[in-house]
Amino acid sequence: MKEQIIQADVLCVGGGIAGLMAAIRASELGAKVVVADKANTLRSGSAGLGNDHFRCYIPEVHGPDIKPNLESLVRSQVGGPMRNMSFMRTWMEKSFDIIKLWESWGIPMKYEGRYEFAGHGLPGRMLASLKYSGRDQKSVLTREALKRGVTVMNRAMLFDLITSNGSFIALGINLKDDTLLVFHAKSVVLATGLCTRLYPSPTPGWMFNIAYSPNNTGDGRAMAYNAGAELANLELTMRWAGPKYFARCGKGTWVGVLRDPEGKPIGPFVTKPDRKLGDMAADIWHSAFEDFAKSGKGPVYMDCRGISDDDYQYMAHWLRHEGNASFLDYLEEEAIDLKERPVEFSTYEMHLSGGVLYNEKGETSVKGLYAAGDELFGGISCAATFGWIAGDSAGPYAQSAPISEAHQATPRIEERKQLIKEMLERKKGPGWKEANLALQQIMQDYAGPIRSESLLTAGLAHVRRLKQKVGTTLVARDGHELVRSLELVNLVDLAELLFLAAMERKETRAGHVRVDYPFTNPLLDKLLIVRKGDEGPVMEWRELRR
Amino acid sequence: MPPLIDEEKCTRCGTCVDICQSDVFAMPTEATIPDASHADECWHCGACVMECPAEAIRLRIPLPMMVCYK
Repeated sequence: MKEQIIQADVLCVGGGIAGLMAAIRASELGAKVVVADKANTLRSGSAGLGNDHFRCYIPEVHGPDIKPNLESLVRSQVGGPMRNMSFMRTWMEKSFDIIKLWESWGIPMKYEGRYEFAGHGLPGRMLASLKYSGRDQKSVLTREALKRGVTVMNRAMLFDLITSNGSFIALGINLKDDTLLVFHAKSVVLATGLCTRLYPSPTPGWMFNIAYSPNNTGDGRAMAYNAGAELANLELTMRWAGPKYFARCGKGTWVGVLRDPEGKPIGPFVTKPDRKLGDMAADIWHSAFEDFAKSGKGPVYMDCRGISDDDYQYMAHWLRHEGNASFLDYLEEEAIDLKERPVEFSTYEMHLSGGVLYNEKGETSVKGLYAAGDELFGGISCAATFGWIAGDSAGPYAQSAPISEAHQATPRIEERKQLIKEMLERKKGPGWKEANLALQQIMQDYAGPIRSESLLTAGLAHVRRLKQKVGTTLVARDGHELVRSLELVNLVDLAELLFLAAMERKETRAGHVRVDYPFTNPLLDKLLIVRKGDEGPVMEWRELRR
Repeated sequence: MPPLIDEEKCTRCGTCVDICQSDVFAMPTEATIPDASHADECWHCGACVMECPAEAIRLRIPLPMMVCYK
């Protein structure tokens, strides 16, 4: 197997919003920066096709008091169970600077000359989502990174991280020619996005029909764990909702009312379509669609009937920027007119909201190792803000850090090379798809919407057996399958940790439904930390600082 | 299965091969029309449609993704 050694002051793992922002900032501060992206930074990841709303605090819009924004953030999925107040304050305080920066680079952050706020709104309350035209945001960020001398390596999937004498060795595969990539970096920013493909999609057997990028498989979380960094709240999951069967993000972009089959609104917030508010019913009542289906009272429709042509154009404009162009094209092709036809909405599959624990400086628990964005779910403005901040920390750190030495990492590198060699040379055995489907059915049945001690105990044993099979029997016929197989290696590692954490959290909270502990225990309003110990995973509870 | 390439319009530039985040396309030589060899890994994001300079690609949304309406 061919090998390529790449030296960097700062290695950004993942070229999404967070990874590119970190690269831009670290490079500005004089560091030699490499971005490695599994796909192509121009269109990769969950933000590859765009976003249309950016959670922020703008003093001239929201007034001099930041508190209402912070309170709204604490109540949200990204705030409550996951972050310290110092993190959330930094996020909101810095968000407007990032908006101005993006505007100066050519990402349109204003609509008709003003800052426009809409969607995810409650009547009479402050709106925190800035509408922006993000369809081409990644080509802008890629251009800004290249302009500052950042090296962008596309089709480079990184799968393992080893600490070595205070610096780092990262291992990857060049997907196009199967070359083993060995990165020697003084500092690393993990920015690989969410962890999807652990749970089945709404369409049986079709793993790629999901709302977030199906190519984000938690590689950063697995790498952080391997390098000794702390993961937090892996057991907490979330579920998105949107058009049934055509899984897409952006329910806050719709201008309509969620209604039952008789036309009655399911929530108390809007009775007719409102472009400023959207319909918050599904944001607040996460299980609404399932509850209606289970009780026989469904389906639930997103009903845009009655909106003006102007409101329709407004919604379509933002849906295109939110990455829903192919959905709109499909509606047009099928002559489905949203002004005439209510469309069914449903809840999608589970995915992790927990992940790599990083603080308001982007620091993980390992010196020199930083993380940003959806390594711990935060959405687009979190990725942009903490990507920048992670670069701001990693750049100066790297320039004073020791040179990376490979010798400490040699046994691990050899072990991983052997794993890859065997996957490529094996002639008979399961492929990655078989293993991924096996994993998804275990996750759904034993750590899915219903969890209990007995189910989790049984499921953990199944996952460990599957992990052993993944490590010893997978067949990869080319670079593409090798990358998918290495994703599986990381996914089964994370699945095992999720089971352990889910057993430890003996309560029900944020998508973690323990039927044997059916209440939220205020004493467990804490972070559940998992890290690698000498004899396997170690868990620890930690207070959140509010 | 999606995506569909119009062979008359395709200039074999390889943009779709480079841009697809799921690595759906294969293009063994510069003379060949890209082949959607990993079509079941398509996210239907439409990046190939958007980026193709010859406007030669369209997505056929598969039946299990049909939008259910009243």
